[in-house]
Amino acid sequence: MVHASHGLKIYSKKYHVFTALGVFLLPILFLFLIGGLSHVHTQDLAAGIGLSLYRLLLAYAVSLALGVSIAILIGYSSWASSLVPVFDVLQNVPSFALIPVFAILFGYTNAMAIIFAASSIIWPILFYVLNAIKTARSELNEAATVFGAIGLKRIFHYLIPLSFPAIITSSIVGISIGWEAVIGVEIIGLKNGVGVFLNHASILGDRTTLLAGILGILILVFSINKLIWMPLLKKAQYYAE
Amino acid sequence: MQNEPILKILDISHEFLAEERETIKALSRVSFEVERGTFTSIVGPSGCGKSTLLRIILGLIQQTQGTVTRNYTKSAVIFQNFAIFPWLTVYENVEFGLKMKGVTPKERKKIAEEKIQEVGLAQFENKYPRELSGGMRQRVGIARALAMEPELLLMDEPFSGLDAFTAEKLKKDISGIWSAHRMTILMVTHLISEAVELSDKIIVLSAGPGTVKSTTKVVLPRPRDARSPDFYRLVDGITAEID
Repeated sequence: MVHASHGLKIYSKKYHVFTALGVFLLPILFLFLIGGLSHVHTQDLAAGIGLSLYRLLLAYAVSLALGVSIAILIGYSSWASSLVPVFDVLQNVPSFALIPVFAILFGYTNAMAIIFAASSIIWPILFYVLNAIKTARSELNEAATVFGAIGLKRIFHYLIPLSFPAIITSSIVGISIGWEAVIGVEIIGLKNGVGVFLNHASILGDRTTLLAGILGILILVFSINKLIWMPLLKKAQYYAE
Repeated sequence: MQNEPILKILDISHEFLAEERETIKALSRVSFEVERGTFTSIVGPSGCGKSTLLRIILGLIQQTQGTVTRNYTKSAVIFQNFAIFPWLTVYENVEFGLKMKGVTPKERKKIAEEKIQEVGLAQFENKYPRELSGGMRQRVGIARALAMEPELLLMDEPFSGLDAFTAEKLKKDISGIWSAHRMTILMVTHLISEAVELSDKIIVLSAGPGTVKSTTKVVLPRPRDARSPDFYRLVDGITAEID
């Protein structure tokens, strides 16, 4: 993978490819193993994890696009800075308190789960990126202006690369918050997803299935960390002064 | 046009709002001219508004009063703390301004490689700033500015962030670049000896608020001997004015 605007190679060595393949195969191997050794319905577990992951990824994509755009807008224009206190109040609203509101607006649907998760993931992304823009050295800002990074060029050639380390670290935090949100809302009101799988196992007192579900999530989280976040975090070092 | 000063500063005053809504006057009725092809320095104590003046000339801040007449189309700046982009390699940093201007990749490559060669970083094209020493980072800053082929090169305390040995070497290099390109340089510094060593003209600013206290033409022969009695006499004279 090569970063489009700067040619930064993220997976430059064979080692990364093997690691990526290895950790991608781990959850699948785990499901085969657990299915062979116990009565756990691995198809249900795989479908549940897959659906939850799908919701999480969509929520993350929405949060990333909105969070980065709002942070850049606030960092870019003085009038938008007055919105910061509003966002500060909003991010302090306990996210689970919003579940009944979203349920009234959208019902316990797939869309509701995604919007609810996005409403939790967006805050670390928005505030980490905003902090990166606001605390950038004034000389660096001036250099960008003097050497012609204005308008859209400023966003793509200065503000986004400047925010890159913050985007990565806030994404890691945001994704972990997102897992909580997705599984939480599935347990509370949805009819499918890994949260529902775990909840049924708990109600039935089926400890093996419960353990298999939790291990499945852990292995997936580990895979995503190893496959995506670790290489990006390493590259982010080059973006920091 | 060619005989006209490249830069005319007329009656520039600048005020800004500090914390607790207190108005600070940074500059008061500053006027001077910079002649084409010369090396001019602005010296003064901390807080005399040297850097503010530089930023007004660059158009980064708008003066409260007065006019800036810019008889040039291309300018560039070398910053005190380098201000090179950490996410770009040496080569990418040097071509940055050209890329923003829409210069073709082929032309960018030619100019950037030439300037990198000129500042002695040919072996380091693909290195990132974090892999370079302070002196090398400032060389990247110099190459980035030269790549713009500026008529007026502005320098904000360019040697302050460097150790004494590197600063000396870089001063010689800047002097050589100025002689070779015959561009106009305007440097801001708080080191009087540095200004005397490099400049044709020294503008002395006094603090609180910054005003032009004197203008001195330096007629010592080049290359200048920083240990000659004439050199010392000039440095002492300017120091006495600031004191």
